[in-house]
Amino acid sequence: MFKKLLNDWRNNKDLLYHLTVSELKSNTARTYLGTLWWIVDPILYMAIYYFLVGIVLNRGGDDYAVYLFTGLIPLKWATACMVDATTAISSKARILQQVYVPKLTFILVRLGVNTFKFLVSSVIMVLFLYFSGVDLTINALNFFILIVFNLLLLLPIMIIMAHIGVYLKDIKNMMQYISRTLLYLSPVLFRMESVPANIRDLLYLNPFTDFLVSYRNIFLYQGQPLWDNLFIILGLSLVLLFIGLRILNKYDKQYAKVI
Amino acid sequence: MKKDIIELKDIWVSYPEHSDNPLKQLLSKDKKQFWALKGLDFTVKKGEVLGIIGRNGSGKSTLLKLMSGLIEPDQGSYQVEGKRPMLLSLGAGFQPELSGIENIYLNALLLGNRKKKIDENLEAIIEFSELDDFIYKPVRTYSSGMRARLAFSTAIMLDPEILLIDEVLGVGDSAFQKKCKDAILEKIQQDRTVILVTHSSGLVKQICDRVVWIHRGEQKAVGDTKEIVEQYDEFMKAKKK
Repeated sequence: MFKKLLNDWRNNKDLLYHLTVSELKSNTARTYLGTLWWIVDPILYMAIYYFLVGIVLNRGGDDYAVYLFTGLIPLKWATACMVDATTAISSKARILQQVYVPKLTFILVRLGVNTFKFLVSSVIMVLFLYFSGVDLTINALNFFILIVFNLLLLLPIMIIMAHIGVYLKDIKNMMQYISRTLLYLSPVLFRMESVPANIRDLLYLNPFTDFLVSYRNIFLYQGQPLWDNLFIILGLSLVLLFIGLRILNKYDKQYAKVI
Repeated sequence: MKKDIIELKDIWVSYPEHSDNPLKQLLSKDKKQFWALKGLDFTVKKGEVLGIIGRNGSGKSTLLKLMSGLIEPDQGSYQVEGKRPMLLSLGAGFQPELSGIENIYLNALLLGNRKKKIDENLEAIIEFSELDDFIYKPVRTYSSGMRARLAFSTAIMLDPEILLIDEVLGVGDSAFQKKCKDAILEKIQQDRTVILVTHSSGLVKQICDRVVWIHRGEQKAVGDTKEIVEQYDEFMKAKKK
């Protein structure tokens, strides 16, 4: 399996790059704002929640804007990846009926597209933090390590979603709700301190909680990521990745029959 | 005696039977199957032009998928010497919002080519397609004939070892059709292996050395073009009555 993976990678890295770039290009083609959407999107997204919680409900507290921003951006990345993954293979029916392409390619393309958007959003986020007077320290550089950990969690989830998406089209609709639920079950809109202590520990079982707390630690509180929790998640991610790759490998020649 | 380049040995391919309830289908133990190919057994020799004929629903598309490596047989073995053949009629990977040139790269990469090779052949592809300035415009502005031209040019100019042709010659206007046919004939001259899959015996009669006739997933006959095509035409005529 690993030998095939390595081979596929060698043969398809050009394709991977071109597919990702072309997907990014076609996403913004024919829109008036074009690539500006990558910048406008996160700002609008955050403005809506800020208006709702921070102004209408007036529940945000001090520094709510920066708190919200540092939570929304990473979670949006994760949920967009998971929703997009459900159609990563199933929407490529026309290609898969005619040419052999390793299925992982399409999943990596979706991951790449969303990660690129996330990186653009992150630049906006960091600028926003800077101009809001947040004290950014050397700890913020842990961001790059966090991204790698986060990617390694997202990839296996995406592989499994993509696989299910071929056989069960309903997964896309379900994923929309799951991602909405994740938004409310992770400390994006609320603060961990405001959660009753007995539930708080349960929330940490949601891996995205650990990531969001870590992102905030490094950006807002000059601290360190939750290394212990993250390494446990990394271990689980790698196991999941192995399982995901096994599934893809096993069904590699089946997808073209059922799509 | 020419060397065998492709070998199919007792090939059986099944599809899972379609069910209205996908969840039930996924969980149920006894899976109903539909056998699309039943015991195909033939070889393709290097440099020959092989025709595969059969009516609609005879299993031609499944056979194409099998030969281009999209699916695996449930039973039997399929072996190719060197690179797997690729289907010539393409355009499946076209991104309508991107320009013709960008789509050439995308499609050619999908067909398993290296970027360097595409760089080298870009000029020839554009010239063959006769798209001129349209090559810089988004593919969504193309007519269906223009799309087909772009797809065919990309595939043929990259010079695959084995050509797998799926009734592509019905594309474009008659002048371009002739050009396609000439390009294929030229490949035949160069001793390339060509596999033509079709339901009509016209072109088969003109270019093929040998023919495989499949009917309802079974291999009805293999042999000399003239002989098999005669049988096939007679069979089809009888059906019409």
